[in-house]
Amino acid sequence: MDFVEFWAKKCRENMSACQKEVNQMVDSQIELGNAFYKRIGRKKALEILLK
Amino acid sequence: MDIMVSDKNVLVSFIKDFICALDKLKIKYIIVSGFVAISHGRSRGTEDIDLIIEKISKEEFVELNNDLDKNGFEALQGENGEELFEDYLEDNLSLRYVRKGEFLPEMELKIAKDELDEDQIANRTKLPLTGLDFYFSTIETNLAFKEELLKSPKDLEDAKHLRIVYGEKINEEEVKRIKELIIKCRL
Repeated sequence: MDFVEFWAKKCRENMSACQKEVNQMVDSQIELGNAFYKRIGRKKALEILLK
Repeated sequence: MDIMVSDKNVLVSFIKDFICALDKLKIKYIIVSGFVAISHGRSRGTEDIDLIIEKISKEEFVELNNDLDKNGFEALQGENGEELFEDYLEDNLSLRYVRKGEFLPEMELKIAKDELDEDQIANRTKLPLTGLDFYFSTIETNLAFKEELLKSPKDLEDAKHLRIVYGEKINEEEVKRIKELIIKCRL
Protein backbone atom coordinates (compact mmCIF):
# COMPACT_ATOMS: atom_id res chain seq x y z
CA MET A 1 0.00 0.00 0.00
CA ASP A 2 1.39 3.43 -0.93
CA PHE A 3 0.75 6.69 0.93
CA VAL A 4 -2.07 7.84 -1.39
CA GLU A 5 -3.94 4.60 -0.76
CA PHE A 6 -3.25 4.69 2.99
CA TRP A 7 -4.47 8.28 3.27
CA ALA A 8 -7.56 7.78 1.08
CA LYS A 9 -8.60 4.81 3.23
CA LYS A 10 -8.12 6.94 6.32
CA CYS A 11 -10.36 9.61 4.73
CA ARG A 12 -12.98 7.03 3.85
CA GLU A 13 -13.11 6.04 7.52
CA ASN A 14 -13.06 9.55 8.96
CA MET A 15 -13.44 12.29 6.36
CA SER A 16 -13.72 15.23 8.76
CA ALA A 17 -10.48 14.34 10.56
CA CYS A 18 -8.71 14.07 7.21
CA GLN A 19 -10.09 17.39 6.02
CA LYS A 20 -9.02 19.12 9.22
CA GLU A 21 -5.42 17.96 8.84
CA VAL A 22 -5.28 18.87 5.15
CA ASN A 23 -6.88 22.28 5.74
CA GLN A 24 -4.23 23.15 8.31
CA MET A 25 -1.48 22.13 5.88
CA VAL A 26 -2.94 24.12 2.99
CA ASP A 27 -3.57 27.21 5.14
CA SER A 28 0.00 27.10 6.37
CA GLN A 29 1.31 26.79 2.80
CA ILE A 30 -0.77 29.79 1.69
CA GLU A 31 0.34 31.94 4.63
CA LEU A 32 3.99 31.16 3.94
CA GLY A 33 3.53 31.84 0.22
CA ASN A 34 1.86 35.18 0.88
CA ALA A 35 4.61 36.17 3.31
CA PHE A 36 7.19 35.36 0.63
CA TYR A 37 5.47 37.34 -2.14
CA LYS A 38 4.90 40.33 0.15
CA ARG A 39 8.56 40.30 1.15
CA ILE A 40 9.81 40.40 -2.45
CA GLY A 41 7.31 43.13 -3.43
CA ARG A 42 4.37 43.33 -5.82
CA LYS A 43 6.35 43.86 -9.01
CA LYS A 44 8.58 40.80 -8.53
CA ALA A 45 5.69 38.75 -7.20
CA LEU A 46 3.64 39.43 -10.32
CA GLU A 47 6.63 38.61 -12.52
CA ILE A 48 6.80 35.18 -10.90
CA LEU A 49 3.08 34.53 -10.69
CA LEU A 50 2.26 35.63 -14.25
CA LYS A 51 5.25 34.17 -16.09
CA MET B 1 8.67 36.01 10.59
CA ASP B 2 5.46 35.41 12.49
CA ILE B 3 3.29 32.85 10.72
CA MET B 4 0.06 31.80 12.37
CA VAL B 5 -2.27 29.11 11.11
CA SER B 6 -5.79 30.26 11.87
CA ASP B 7 -8.69 27.97 12.74
CA LYS B 8 -10.66 29.34 9.80
CA ASN B 9 -9.89 27.57 6.53
CA VAL B 10 -8.40 30.10 4.12
CA LEU B 11 -9.43 28.37 0.89
CA VAL B 12 -13.04 27.78 1.90
CA SER B 13 -13.51 31.34 3.09
CA PHE B 14 -11.90 32.63 -0.12
CA ILE B 15 -14.20 30.52 -2.34
CA LYS B 16 -17.30 31.45 -0.35
CA ASP B 17 -16.62 35.17 -0.70
CA PHE B 18 -15.80 34.85 -4.40
CA ILE B 19 -18.89 32.82 -5.22
CA CYS B 20 -21.15 35.43 -3.59
CA ALA B 21 -20.53 37.65 -6.62
CA LEU B 22 -21.42 34.82 -9.04
CA ASP B 23 -24.58 33.93 -7.13
CA LYS B 24 -25.67 37.56 -7.03
CA LEU B 25 -25.55 37.71 -10.84
CA LYS B 26 -26.99 34.17 -11.18
CA ILE B 27 -23.94 32.96 -13.08
CA LYS B 28 -23.57 29.18 -13.01
CA TYR B 29 -20.14 27.91 -12.00
CA ILE B 30 -18.31 24.72 -11.16
CA ILE B 31 -15.21 24.10 -9.09
CA VAL B 32 -13.02 21.53 -10.84
CA SER B 33 -9.74 19.64 -10.52
CA GLY B 34 -7.39 19.85 -7.52
CA PHE B 35 -9.73 21.39 -4.98
CA VAL B 36 -12.25 18.62 -5.61
CA ALA B 37 -9.70 16.08 -4.35
CA ILE B 38 -8.43 18.32 -1.55
CA SER B 39 -11.94 18.96 -0.26
CA HIS B 40 -12.23 15.16 0.06
CA GLY B 41 -9.20 15.11 2.33
CA ARG B 42 -6.51 14.42 -0.28
CA SER B 43 -3.18 15.19 1.34
CA ARG B 44 -1.48 17.68 -0.92
CA GLY B 45 -0.92 21.40 -1.11
CA THR B 46 -2.54 23.86 -3.46
CA GLU B 47 -2.55 27.59 -3.95
CA ASP B 48 -5.29 27.92 -6.51
CA ILE B 49 -8.83 26.91 -7.24
CA ASP B 50 -9.99 26.18 -10.77
CA LEU B 51 -13.39 27.56 -11.61
CA ILE B 52 -15.39 27.40 -14.85
CA ILE B 53 -18.37 29.67 -15.39
CA GLU B 54 -21.08 29.41 -18.02
CA LYS B 55 -20.74 31.53 -21.16
CA ILE B 56 -21.51 35.16 -20.43
CA SER B 57 -21.34 38.34 -22.48
CA LYS B 58 -18.69 41.01 -22.13
CA GLU B 59 -21.24 43.29 -20.43
CA GLU B 60 -22.11 40.59 -17.90
CA PHE B 61 -18.45 39.98 -17.21
CA VAL B 62 -17.77 43.69 -16.66
CA GLU B 63 -20.57 43.68 -14.07
CA LEU B 64 -19.08 40.58 -12.44
CA ASN B 65 -15.60 42.13 -12.38
CA ASN B 66 -17.05 45.27 -10.76
CA ASP B 67 -18.82 43.20 -8.12
CA LEU B 68 -15.67 41.22 -7.40
CA ASP B 69 -13.81 44.52 -7.02
CA LYS B 70 -16.42 45.72 -4.51
CA ASN B 71 -16.05 42.41 -2.64
CA GLY B 72 -12.29 42.94 -2.29
CA PHE B 73 -10.96 40.87 -5.21
CA GLU B 74 -8.71 41.88 -8.09
CA ALA B 75 -7.43 40.12 -11.20
CA LEU B 76 -3.64 39.84 -11.24
CA GLN B 77 -3.69 40.62 -14.98
CA GLY B 78 -5.37 44.03 -14.69
CA GLU B 79 -8.35 46.11 -13.65
CA ASN B 80 -10.29 46.95 -16.78
CA GLY B 81 -13.16 44.49 -17.21
CA GLU B 82 -13.55 44.99 -20.96
CA GLU B 83 -9.83 44.44 -21.56
CA LEU B 84 -9.75 41.39 -19.30
CA PHE B 85 -12.63 39.87 -21.24
CA GLU B 86 -11.15 40.63 -24.67
CA ASP B 87 -7.51 39.77 -23.85
CA TYR B 88 -8.11 36.63 -21.79
CA LEU B 89 -11.57 35.12 -21.59
CA GLU B 90 -12.38 35.50 -25.29
CA ASP B 91 -9.12 33.66 -26.04
CA ASN B 92 -10.02 30.88 -23.58
CA LEU B 93 -7.32 32.02 -21.16
CA SER B 94 -7.93 32.10 -17.43
CA LEU B 95 -8.10 35.14 -15.18
CA ARG B 96 -6.42 34.89 -11.82
CA TYR B 97 -8.22 36.61 -8.99
CA VAL B 98 -6.78 37.22 -5.54
CA ARG B 99 -7.89 39.21 -2.53
CA LYS B 100 -6.59 42.75 -2.82
CA GLY B 101 -3.22 43.04 -1.13
CA GLU B 102 -2.68 39.26 -1.14
CA PHE B 103 -1.11 36.94 -3.71
CA LEU B 104 -2.50 33.60 -2.59
CA PRO B 105 -4.81 31.80 -2.89
CA GLU B 106 -5.81 32.43 -6.50
CA MET B 107 -9.09 31.77 -8.23
CA GLU B 108 -8.38 30.69 -11.81
CA LEU B 109 -11.52 31.65 -13.66
CA LYS B 110 -12.36 30.39 -17.14
CA ILE B 111 -15.45 30.62 -19.29
CA ALA B 112 -16.97 27.42 -20.67
CA LYS B 113 -15.36 26.93 -24.05
CA ASP B 114 -16.95 23.86 -25.60
CA GLU B 115 -19.54 21.08 -25.36
CA LEU B 116 -17.48 19.38 -22.68
CA ASP B 117 -17.48 22.40 -20.36
CA GLU B 118 -21.18 22.95 -20.99
CA ASP B 119 -21.81 19.29 -20.13
CA GLN B 120 -19.88 19.70 -16.88
CA ILE B 121 -21.88 22.77 -15.91
CA ALA B 122 -25.21 21.16 -16.86
CA ASN B 123 -24.40 18.22 -14.57
CA ARG B 124 -22.89 20.24 -11.74
CA THR B 125 -23.54 19.00 -8.25
CA LYS B 126 -22.94 19.65 -4.60
CA LEU B 127 -20.80 17.00 -2.95
CA PRO B 128 -22.05 16.23 0.57
CA LEU B 129 -18.84 14.46 1.62
CA THR B 130 -16.97 17.77 1.33
CA GLY B 131 -19.34 19.45 3.80
CA LEU B 132 -19.26 22.49 1.50
CA ASP B 133 -22.16 24.36 -0.06
CA PHE B 134 -20.48 24.87 -3.44
CA TYR B 135 -21.14 23.47 -6.91
CA PHE B 136 -18.55 21.05 -8.25
CA SER B 137 -18.16 19.10 -11.44
CA THR B 138 -19.21 15.52 -10.75
CA ILE B 139 -16.78 12.96 -9.33
CA GLU B 140 -17.11 11.00 -12.59
CA THR B 141 -16.12 14.12 -14.58
CA ASN B 142 -13.10 14.73 -12.39
CA LEU B 143 -12.00 11.11 -12.74
CA ALA B 144 -12.39 11.25 -16.52
CA PHE B 145 -10.36 14.46 -16.83
CA LYS B 146 -7.59 13.30 -14.55
CA GLU B 147 -7.32 9.81 -16.07
CA GLU B 148 -7.89 10.62 -19.74
CA LEU B 149 -6.64 14.19 -20.29
CA LEU B 150 -4.44 15.58 -17.51
CA LYS B 151 -2.58 12.39 -16.51
CA SER B 152 0.22 14.04 -14.45
CA PRO B 153 1.38 12.02 -11.41
CA LYS B 154 -0.48 14.49 -9.17
CA ASP B 155 -3.68 14.15 -11.20
CA LEU B 156 -3.50 10.37 -11.26
CA GLU B 157 -3.01 10.36 -7.49
CA ASP B 158 -6.02 12.69 -7.09
CA ALA B 159 -8.07 10.24 -9.16
CA LYS B 160 -6.84 7.30 -7.10
CA HIS B 161 -7.81 9.11 -3.89
CA LEU B 162 -11.32 9.87 -5.19
CA ARG B 163 -11.76 6.29 -6.42
CA ILE B 164 -10.91 4.91 -2.96
CA VAL B 165 -13.09 7.44 -1.15
CA TYR B 166 -16.14 6.87 -3.41
CA GLY B 167 -15.53 3.17 -4.15
CA GLU B 168 -18.54 1.39 -5.63
CA LYS B 169 -20.58 4.62 -5.75
CA ILE B 170 -18.70 5.68 -8.88
CA ASN B 171 -20.76 5.41 -12.06
CA GLU B 172 -18.25 3.81 -14.44
CA GLU B 173 -20.58 4.18 -17.44
CA GLU B 174 -20.65 7.92 -16.82
CA VAL B 175 -16.84 8.03 -16.49
CA LYS B 176 -16.66 6.26 -19.85
CA ARG B 177 -19.15 8.67 -21.45
CA ILE B 178 -17.13 11.70 -20.33
CA LYS B 179 -13.85 10.14 -21.44
CA GLU B 180 -15.37 9.73 -24.90
CA LEU B 181 -16.47 13.37 -24.84
CA ILE B 182 -12.93 14.39 -23.86
CA ILE B 183 -11.52 12.45 -26.81
CA LYS B 184 -14.05 14.12 -29.12
CA CYS B 185 -13.54 17.68 -27.84
CA ARG B 186 -9.98 17.92 -26.59
CA LEU B 187 -7.73 15.21 -28.02
